Amino acid sequence: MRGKLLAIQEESRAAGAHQSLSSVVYNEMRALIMQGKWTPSSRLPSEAELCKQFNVSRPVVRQALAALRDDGLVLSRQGSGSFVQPGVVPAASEPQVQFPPLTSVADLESFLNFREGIEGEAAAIAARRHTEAQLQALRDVAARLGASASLAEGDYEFHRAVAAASGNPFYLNSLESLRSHIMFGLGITWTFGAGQGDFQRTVQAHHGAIVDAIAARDADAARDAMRRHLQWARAKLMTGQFPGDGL
Amino acid sequence: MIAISSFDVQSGKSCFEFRMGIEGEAAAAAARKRSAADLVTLRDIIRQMEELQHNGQPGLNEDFAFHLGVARASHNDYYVSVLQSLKATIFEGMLYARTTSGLKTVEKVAAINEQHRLVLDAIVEQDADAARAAMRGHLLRCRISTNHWHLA
Repeated sequence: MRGKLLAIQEESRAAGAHQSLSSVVYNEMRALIMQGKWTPSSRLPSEAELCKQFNVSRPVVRQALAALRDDGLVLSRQGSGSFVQPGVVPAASEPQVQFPPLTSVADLESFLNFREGIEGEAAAIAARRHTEAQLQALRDVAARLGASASLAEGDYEFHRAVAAASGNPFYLNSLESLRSHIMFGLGITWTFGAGQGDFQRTVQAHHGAIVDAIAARDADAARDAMRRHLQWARAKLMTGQFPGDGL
Repeated sequence: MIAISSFDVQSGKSCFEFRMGIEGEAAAAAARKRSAADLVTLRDIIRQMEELQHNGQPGLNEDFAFHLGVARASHNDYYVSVLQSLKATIFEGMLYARTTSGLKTVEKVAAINEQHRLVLDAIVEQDADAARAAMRGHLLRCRISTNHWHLA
C-alpha cells in the first residue's frame, strides 16, 4: 500500500501537479471501499492505524475521512469509530469486454483479423512493460505446450500469458472473454494440424520468436512476430494449407 | 475535489492505452474496408461536432459516435463490440480527460475535431498506416490529458 501510494505521489510530481496528501489518502480509501476490500458495514481501521498504514499525520486522515463522509461512503459514530456505509455496492473490478458469438465463416474471418490486431498490440506492450516474473511465466507456459493439458489448451494459455505480460487488465480481460472463440479456432487447427508434419514444432518456434522479442523489449519485433504467427494460423485454419513455416 | 479513486485513474489510463491498440487497428481496417455510406456518416458526425464547438458544447455523445463510426467502418463487429462494452468507461475517460486538461471547452473541442478530421482524411484516402497513426496520436493526447487527474 505504501509503495503504491509513493508511486502515485511520484507520478503526480512528475506530472507537475500539486498533490494534496489528503486527496491521495481519500482516493486510496475510496478505492478500497469501491473494490469491496473494505466491505459494507465493516469497521474501518482506527485513525492511528490509518496514519500508520498511509504514513501520514492525523489531520490528513481526518480530512480524508470527512471527504468520504461527504460522499456518503463512510459513517462515523462518536466513540466507536468509522464504518463503511451498509448500502455501498462495490463496483466490478474491471469493466467486462463482451464479444459477439461466432455464427458463420465470415464471423470467423473477422474474429481472426481482430485477434491479429489486439494480440499484436498486447505483445508490443508486453515487450515494453513485462516484469521478470511475467517473462518467466511466459517461458514456462511456452515450454509446457502439449505437456499437460491438450495442445489447444496449452496454445490458448500461451496467448493468455502474453496478454497478462502487457500488465494492462483490458487486454487480459479481452483474451479471457474471448476464450471460447479462441478455443473454437484452436480446436479445429490442432485437430487437423497435429497429424501433419512439423505442425507442433512450427507453433513452438513461432511462440519462441514471440517470447524472444518480448524478452529483448523489442515492441515492433514482438508485434510482428505475433501478427505473423496469427496470419499463418489463420491461413491454416481457413484453407487447411500450410503456407510455409511463416518465419 | 475530484471524486475519482487512484484505482479508477489507473483503470482510465489502461483504458486509453487499450483503446490506442484496438482503435488504431480498427481505423487501419476502416481505411481498407470503408463504404461510401460510412464516409457520409463520419462526415456528418464531424460536422455536428464542429457546430457544437461553435456553441461551446462538449459533444461527448458525438465524440463517442465518431469512434463507434470508425469501428463500424472496419466492417468487423468485434471492434464495434469492444467499444460498446466499454462505453461507460470510455465516457468517464472522455469526461476526465477534458475537464482537467486546462483548456477551455471550445479549445478542447477544436483540438479533438482537428484530430478526428485527420483520422477521417486518412480513411477517405484509404491509407491504413496514416489512419492507424492518426487514431493512435489522438488517443495518446487524450491519455496524456489524464496526467492531470491527480489535481485536487
